[in-house]
Amino acid sequence: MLSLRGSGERFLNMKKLFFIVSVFLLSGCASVNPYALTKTQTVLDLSNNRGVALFTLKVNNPAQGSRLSLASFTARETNQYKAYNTLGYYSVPLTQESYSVQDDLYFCSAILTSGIYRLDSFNGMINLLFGVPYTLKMDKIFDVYPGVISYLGRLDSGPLDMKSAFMQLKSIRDNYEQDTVKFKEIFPVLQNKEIGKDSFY
Amino acid sequence: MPFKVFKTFFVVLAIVSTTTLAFAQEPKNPISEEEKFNSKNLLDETAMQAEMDFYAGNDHQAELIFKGLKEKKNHDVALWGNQLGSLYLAQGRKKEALEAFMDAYLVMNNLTAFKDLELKSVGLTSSEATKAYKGDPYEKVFNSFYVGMLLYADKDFENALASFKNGILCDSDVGSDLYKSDVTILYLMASRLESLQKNQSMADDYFKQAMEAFILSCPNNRALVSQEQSLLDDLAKKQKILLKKEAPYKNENSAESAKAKAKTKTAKLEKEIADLGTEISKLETEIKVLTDKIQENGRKLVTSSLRDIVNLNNNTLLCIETGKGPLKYQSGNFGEKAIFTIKPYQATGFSVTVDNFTRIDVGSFLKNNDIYYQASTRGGRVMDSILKGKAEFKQTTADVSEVISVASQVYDPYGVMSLFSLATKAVSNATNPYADARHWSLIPAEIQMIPLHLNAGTHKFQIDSYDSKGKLIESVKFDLEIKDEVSNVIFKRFRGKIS
Repeated sequence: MLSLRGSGERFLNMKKLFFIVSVFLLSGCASVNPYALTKTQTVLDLSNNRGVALFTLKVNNPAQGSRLSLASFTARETNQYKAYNTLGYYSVPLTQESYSVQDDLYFCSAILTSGIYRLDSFNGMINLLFGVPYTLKMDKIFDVYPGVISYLGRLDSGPLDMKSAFMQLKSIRDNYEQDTVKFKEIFPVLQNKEIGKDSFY
Repeated sequence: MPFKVFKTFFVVLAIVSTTTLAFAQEPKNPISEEEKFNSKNLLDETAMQAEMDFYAGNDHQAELIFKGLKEKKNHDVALWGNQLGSLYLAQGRKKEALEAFMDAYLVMNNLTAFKDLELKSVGLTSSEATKAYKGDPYEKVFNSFYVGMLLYADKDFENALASFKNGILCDSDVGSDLYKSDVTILYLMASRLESLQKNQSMADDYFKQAMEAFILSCPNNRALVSQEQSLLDDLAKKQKILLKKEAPYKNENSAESAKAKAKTKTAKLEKEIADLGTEISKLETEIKVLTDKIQENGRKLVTSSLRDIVNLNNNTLLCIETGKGPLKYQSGNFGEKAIFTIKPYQATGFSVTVDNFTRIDVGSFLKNNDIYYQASTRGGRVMDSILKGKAEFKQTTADVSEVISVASQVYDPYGVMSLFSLATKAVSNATNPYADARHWSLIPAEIQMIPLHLNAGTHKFQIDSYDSKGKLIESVKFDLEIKDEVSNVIFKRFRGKIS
């Protein structure tokens, strides 16, 4: 009896231990990406020379059939004062909340240390089930100013071309009024915050 | 037993973290500004922060960083001098700006300065950025321009003229003929200074060259000039080939000629020479058509602003600096290419009102002094082909290493191939083909100049800036004392702030 009770206690203890260790290990998975805004975010910390770049991406998915679903975008640091092989490379996730089905628009944000960056590409999949990787190439430069939130424009790659594995950028338009209202709706932390207007180049 | 160990570990962890938090305080002696921006504590990469601070309007911090970096007196001293000079000029501190630009000028135009570093930078494993910054031709041109303008404002006319002449010389250091010496503003200032020193024939000469530069660099002619330049390059290539093919038959005395005569021209060679001749005359006709078009466009240009600048009755030169200068960054698989781009700037048109009644509009401004055009037409450098070679070597050694590595998995009982693969990979990794992207980033995108005739005394100025559609962007008001002399110079910077 005693030995049985002992093994039961041990089992319970192991369960507790497993729970604690899992919480400890999985805490990394639940953590927020420091480079992107989130819906639940209540504080925007722009200390230590950080700034925010906001921009939208129009994805022209066909009305029927395969759709492109984007997961992230990549930005590369452009700093003439640093060695090329030490420049930062950031992969910023695109969450579900940043996509507006209604407009087929992605609302992208990048919280970065002030500096010059090159928006490299957007990466995603066509057909979520049997995913085919797809890339939207951008190669556009943008600036991040200390303590400043700036809107950079709306990127458009034109109608989705399923035959090739990637597409180039077609145009950039200024949709400041429309896009900033929606940004404030999606990311409440931006409400009551001034959003300046800047541009890609 | 293991649970007890983990339990103890977590309890200890909890206690330690809570006590650390409870006792955590703001440091009692935060690093002072002096210590933070001391040259010993500043890293070169902090300059990016200063650059962004400048464009965001935080001049104080930008100044402290650039000043600290300049005090290091390392191989980038000319770069920090130029950045600091632009910052001081934007603040209206002309004396400090001249000092900073002059420090840069002395290094940029000294061939022997940091010579040992230049030799090192061509090595396979050294980076181009290890050599001293001396600037591209366009940076040397505008450094000379600023030094010249500030010396002119200081009434040091002889040195100012020498500086403008140096700028003209630096502009001739570019690869392509048509882009040589096309900075109008330098010729105009040289002409003005020669007039001041009563050298009228020299003044006329410089003015003539200013007109030619103005026609070549005006926006309507830029596409034509680029087309003509590529035809000229093609022509030069073809003429060289023709000369080589004909050489043995032309030179009567050489041994080669005797051998060639013995053989006589083959029908194939004769045809090749005839074809080349036809292609050359066709190219010459096309070049003539383009030259005529460029001249025709030039006749339509309004050149009154050029005459106004050299007119000594105008005792004040107002220089409006607008936008953010060209950005140079690395591209290519290994960052071996350095390319330029420019940020579009809103403020492109200006109007100046003096004492609330004299209003000067767009027509009177000397425009088209855009720095991006000068930066992007510099042509290829010798260093570009060195970097291309390094990048190819890096790629080849990486490929060879990969092939050997795969082969070693199939047959390599003693691991010799693996070792060789590792060594090749190490050589590939050590090869440094990265292009040097250092550039004067605080330089404006464009300089517009307006000559004014003003009486001595204090005047009220208002400068309004407009975008390309004529929408008012920014209005700047200031009072300034104009001295009873011919060399009053005013600089005003519009940095293209975020709206």
